[in-house]
Amino acid sequence: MNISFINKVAIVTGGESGIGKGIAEKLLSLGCLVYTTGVNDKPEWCGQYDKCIYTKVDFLNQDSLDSFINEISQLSKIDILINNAGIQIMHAIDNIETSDWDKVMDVNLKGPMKIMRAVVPVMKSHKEGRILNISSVAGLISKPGQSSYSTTKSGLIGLTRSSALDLATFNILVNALCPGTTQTEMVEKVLNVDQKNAILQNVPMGRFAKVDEIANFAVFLCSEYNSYMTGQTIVVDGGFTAR
Amino acid sequence: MQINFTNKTVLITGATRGIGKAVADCFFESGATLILTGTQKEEIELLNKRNKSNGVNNIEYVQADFSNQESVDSFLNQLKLYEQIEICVNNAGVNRVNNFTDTSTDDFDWIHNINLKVPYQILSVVGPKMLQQGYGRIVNVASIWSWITRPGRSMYTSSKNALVGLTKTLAVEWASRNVLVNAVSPGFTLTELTKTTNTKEQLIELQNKIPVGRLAEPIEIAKLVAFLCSDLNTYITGQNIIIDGGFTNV
Ligand SMILES: NC(=O)c1ccc[n+]([C@@H]2O[C@H](COP(=O)([O-])OP(=O)(O)OC[C@H]3O[C@@H](n4cnc5c(N)ncnc54)[C@H](OP(=O)(O)O)[C@@H]3O)[C@@H](O)[C@H]2O)c1
Repeated sequence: MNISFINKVAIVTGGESGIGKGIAEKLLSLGCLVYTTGVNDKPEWCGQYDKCIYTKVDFLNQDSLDSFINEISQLSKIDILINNAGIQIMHAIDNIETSDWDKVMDVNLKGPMKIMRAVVPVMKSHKEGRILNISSVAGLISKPGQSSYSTTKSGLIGLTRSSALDLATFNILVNALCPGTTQTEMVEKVLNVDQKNAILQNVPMGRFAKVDEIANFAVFLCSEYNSYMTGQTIVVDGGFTAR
Repeated sequence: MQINFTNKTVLITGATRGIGKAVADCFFESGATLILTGTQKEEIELLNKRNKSNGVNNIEYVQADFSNQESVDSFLNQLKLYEQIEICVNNAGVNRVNNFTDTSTDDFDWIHNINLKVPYQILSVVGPKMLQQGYGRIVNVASIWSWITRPGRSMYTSSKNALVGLTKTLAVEWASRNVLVNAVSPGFTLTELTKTTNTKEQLIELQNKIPVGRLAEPIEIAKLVAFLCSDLNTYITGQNIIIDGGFTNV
């Protein structure tokens, strides 16, 4: 079984670093043309690939997002969309600033919906497409302070289920992937050693996911090797939620 | 990105037809050494003979009837002799549709023996080998009826739910030893059996209930099983992955 993306076009949001970068680079290495985004200037890694097209997009700025959406809706072909961009603001329910809540909704949920809405007509015209929404184990379980984040990640699962039904007869498969804690720069920055160890005690595999492990499955789901799975939420977490 | 099973010994139960056969074909293409089971003695002999005369020496068919304890015991004894088994796909399964009030203890035993007890017994033999090797991939083939149900499916649904429960617990027990355990739950799949037990009209009616408008081909299920058993999967464990063309979403 040989998975290849030659002649395929993908959009991967939030590709500056972490999981988005991992997925984008994997697709690129398999021959895909990849449009990716980030809030900062074009990252160095992107320059190493001829087929990597980077756009600076801030999902918190509707003009910025709309102009990106306008750009991609002109494309003649989009085979794959991976909604990966996401933010997290921690706040207990009795302490939420409405503006913070709105930010998390805009980036994690409204952005993906708007991009799907724009990409689907292009996919429909080819009667083929794969959409993968990167949710989180926080979409299924939660912890204190995560109400806005968990709401959006659960929301993405609902969006996935329902849009899978809208698109099933067009050979457009829509799934969600829930990574467990993944070894990214963000995790390195946000968690101290004690916090990391506390999480690890509850991960049966005894270690965090590597970006590559999430990317492998993401890429499989978006390849021609997945032709029947749709509307599903698949957890890649080393057994964390099974216990 | 390649899936390759060279130097991997793979046990697949119920591999003479249907989904199990597609899984076996998929693994064979990727270079695996295969141990495959079926119930019919003459067929097994024929398949082994044919492979031998074709120079295929990495497939061994074994006759085993999971509803017969003697046959199971002799199969398990044979399994014990293998030095290494890296991958195990518990696929053999049966169904007998009956409303609950019409079921008998015999129905319960027959379905649970084949769908649950024998997979348990196989894992009791194969699991320790994997733990010792520090490497293993197990996929238990459950069903959408491990997730939802409908009238007449009490015995089958019970067995498949239990199989998923076993899957999750083993995943948690064995994760740190690099033995990953998952379930794959297919929706309606167009096997020979499905084709012969349904009329054309019934198949169309069934198709219309599935969001993607068609049944799964066995090979579509097989590819997911192959991915989960490959070295591309090093972190998915304890999952029951449904592959049903959207059926359980409606
Ligand atoms: N087809 C579907 O729509 C569907 C949907 C969801 C889940 N599943 C599950 O997928 C698995 C495979 O189903 P399938 O549709 O491919 O089945 P199938 O076409 O009926 O094939 C069943 C396989 O299991 C073997 N088997 C049957 N009875 C057995 C017994 N008593 N002891 C040992 N092996 C036995 C058969 O061997 P012989 O032919 O040699 O007897 C055959 O190789 C099953 O676990 C089933 O529950 C199927």
